[in-house]
Amino acid sequence: MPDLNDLALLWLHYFSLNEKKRKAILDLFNEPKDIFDDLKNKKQELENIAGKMQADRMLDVDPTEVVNGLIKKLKNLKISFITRNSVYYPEQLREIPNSPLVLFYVGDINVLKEKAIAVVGTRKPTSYGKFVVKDFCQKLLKANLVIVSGLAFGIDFIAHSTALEENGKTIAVMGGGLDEIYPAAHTMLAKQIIKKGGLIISEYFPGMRPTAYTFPERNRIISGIAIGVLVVEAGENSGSLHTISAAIEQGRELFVVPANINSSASFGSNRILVEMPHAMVTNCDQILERFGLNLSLNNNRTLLDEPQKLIYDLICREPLSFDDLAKKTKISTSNLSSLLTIMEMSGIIKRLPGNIIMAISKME
Amino acid sequence: MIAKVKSLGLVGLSGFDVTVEVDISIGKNSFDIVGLPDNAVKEAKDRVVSAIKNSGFAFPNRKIVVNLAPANIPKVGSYFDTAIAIGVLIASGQISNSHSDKVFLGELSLDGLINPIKGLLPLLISGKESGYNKFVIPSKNTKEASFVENITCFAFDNLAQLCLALKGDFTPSPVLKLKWKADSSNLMGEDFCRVKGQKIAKRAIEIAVAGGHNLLMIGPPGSGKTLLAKCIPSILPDLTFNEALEITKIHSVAGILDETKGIVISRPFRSPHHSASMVALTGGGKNAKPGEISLAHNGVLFLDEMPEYSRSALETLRQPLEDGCISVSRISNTVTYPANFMLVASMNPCPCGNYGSKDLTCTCSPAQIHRYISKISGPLLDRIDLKIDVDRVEFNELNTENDEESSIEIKKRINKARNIQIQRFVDEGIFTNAKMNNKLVKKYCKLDLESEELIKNAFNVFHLSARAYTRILKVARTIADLDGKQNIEPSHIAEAISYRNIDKIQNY
Repeated sequence: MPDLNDLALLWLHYFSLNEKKRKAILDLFNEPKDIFDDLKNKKQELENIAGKMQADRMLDVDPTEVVNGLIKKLKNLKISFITRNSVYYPEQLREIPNSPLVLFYVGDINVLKEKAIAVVGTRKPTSYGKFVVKDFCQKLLKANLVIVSGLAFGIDFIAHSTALEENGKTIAVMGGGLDEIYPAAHTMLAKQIIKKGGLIISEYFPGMRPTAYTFPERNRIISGIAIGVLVVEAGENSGSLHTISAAIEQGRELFVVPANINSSASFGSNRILVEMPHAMVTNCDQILERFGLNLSLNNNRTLLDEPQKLIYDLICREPLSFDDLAKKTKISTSNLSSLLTIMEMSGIIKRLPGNIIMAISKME
Repeated sequence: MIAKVKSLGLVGLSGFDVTVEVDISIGKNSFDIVGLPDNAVKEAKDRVVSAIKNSGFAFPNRKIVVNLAPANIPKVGSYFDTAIAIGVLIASGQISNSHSDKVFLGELSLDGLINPIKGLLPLLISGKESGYNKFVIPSKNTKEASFVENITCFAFDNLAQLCLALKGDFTPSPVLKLKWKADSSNLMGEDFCRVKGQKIAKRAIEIAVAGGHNLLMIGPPGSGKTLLAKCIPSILPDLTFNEALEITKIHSVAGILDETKGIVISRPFRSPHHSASMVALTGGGKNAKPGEISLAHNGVLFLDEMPEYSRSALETLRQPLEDGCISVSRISNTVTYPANFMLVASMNPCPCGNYGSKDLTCTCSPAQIHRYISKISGPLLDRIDLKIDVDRVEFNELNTENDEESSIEIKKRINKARNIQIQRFVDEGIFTNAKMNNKLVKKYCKLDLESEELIKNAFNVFHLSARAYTRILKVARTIADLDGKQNIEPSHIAEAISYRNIDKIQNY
């Protein structure tokens, strides 16, 4: 249950001041809860800190009244909140510059206590990106990491839904109020995340619509609650680049997966790699190793029979189209189709859109 | 004197008996037709007057009333001209009254020629069922009539000739019966040997055609989806006589039957443009005419660029895909047309077409792509058994002199597989694997332990839905038939699973 201090912080959050002003106002009082009794006596100080207009707004309505209204609204929408004073507020988030005073949430707040990794990337991934993010997420989830992302199309969507498929935990950080999910097409996804024990959070009051500036602001929370940020495909002007700079500012571990230099979906992420070569990861184990979460992955290495070996050796170097494979192996279309299905099911290969076949795990 | 002459009217695909009653009485010159005639029937009187005069007979200048009984069913079309003319001639005593065993069908021209009519075949079949066996028909419809057994048809060029025969001046020879023969030549459509590469697509099409499965091809523009579809007619299985009759009935009513053939000898392949309205697809209009999906009965309905069709038009396909027929309700009547077609559709992955392409950049926004894909509703996708990717073929591939299999070879295998199915379902009332319901799937798609294990695994790995399960079994059954195997084997299941691509098209 929020105490009076929490309510006072909620009131202060309502006026969305910057960190410096917030701190200055809180310094006027012994404890935040004193705001409710003492605010009227500090008119002059408030005007000095926040300017006349803002101070007038703050003094216009009694804080108790404002807070009661807010609490009622949140209750109706079944949205809860924690403040910086809460035990649930992640330590690593508290340390970041301009950390949010209040976080609204729906779902299981205990998830915030667990180790989390942020997964971000383009909204329009290539099939390569889709494969990478799914593959990496599966392994990260096996190491019991929580997947944090932004509920957007593309990489975000795959990251969240992989977590759901693997029965792992995931957190979606929204760029607007929690009463209205953006994009609307992912409303069901959001519900499922909550249903499966995940969490949806935002620093914005319900009713606040996401705008061009809220998303970059939101991105600092994505990296803020995570121990590291994994970037899979970011375009030239991708929003993921904001997350990357937030991660750098906050001193988070950054992991960037390299991609084809011709792929416009990866211009941004590849450029980051040129600037920061040490951020490159080519294997999920490298991430786990960095955090000391060593995980022996048991690959489903069934013994391949002759035709399967033939296929595997051919696609080991680079992905091949079905037609090329059929031509090189001289296996009939029907047999090849069924062989590939069996190999796909044992996790040795993957079929990509456009009938491209790709090898997955390295075989010794 | 009253004359009664038999004729037939048409509602949908079935004919009904019409008695043309002609009464000539003393009174002011007039000529009226009653019995709910439409405009074409009303105008018959002008044609009849001229035709009688120009055939060397006298048109009685009396009060003439023509009644088309039963009087409560609307009469449409120009089927009754000949019957009315004969009625007038009998009533005026110019021909003897002894022709009540004959059914007269045909439209008259002003000079007395008997013109062909639409829908003769369904009329003859209904007439035969009502117990008639002598029919007078236009000579241009001869071919159509020559395939109906156990009836005698007499074909005439003009009214004068017909009257001579009715008077007994000469004995006309009946229309010769022709033996029906399916067209097994490969002249229809493009030949598959023209398509380079695209092995998966070709194999999927072969399976789809063999089992009558619906098929969706997804790929960027220029990847050859349309060419592949145009090759389909060349491998469609041979028609059976009953199927041919069903198709001919519909095509005859729609007026698109080839007069020189008289009966449909190859499966129809209909590709309506995407601007087609709902009515154009399902049928309708003032007289509830058959639409494209009925014209594609026992054949293929090809929808190129599927998301470009209006949503309402696409959604109306759901019922026919399930039931194999469509009910068209209009003010005048409700008609049920058969619509048992194989749906072949193609689409781009996004509005610009390049999403997911190997080397081209997509310029669409995520929301645009989402909107584009979601134009095809889930229930509709559920009814499509095979969904495949088609990608551009590289230039090198196009230039090779590789020998690709020709349509004749593929068709041989398909005919074989189709015959197995026809024999298997002889007591079930269906012809193809695709039409199996859950009960039949259980009966005819038994799996051995190994296959059971395989499909179970696939469910966990690929997160398949319950509907996908039935679809995979049906497709596996067809693959087994193509393979000539009695039982479904694990390799058949594995292949069937590989064509489930992008089952979750929403995640595309």
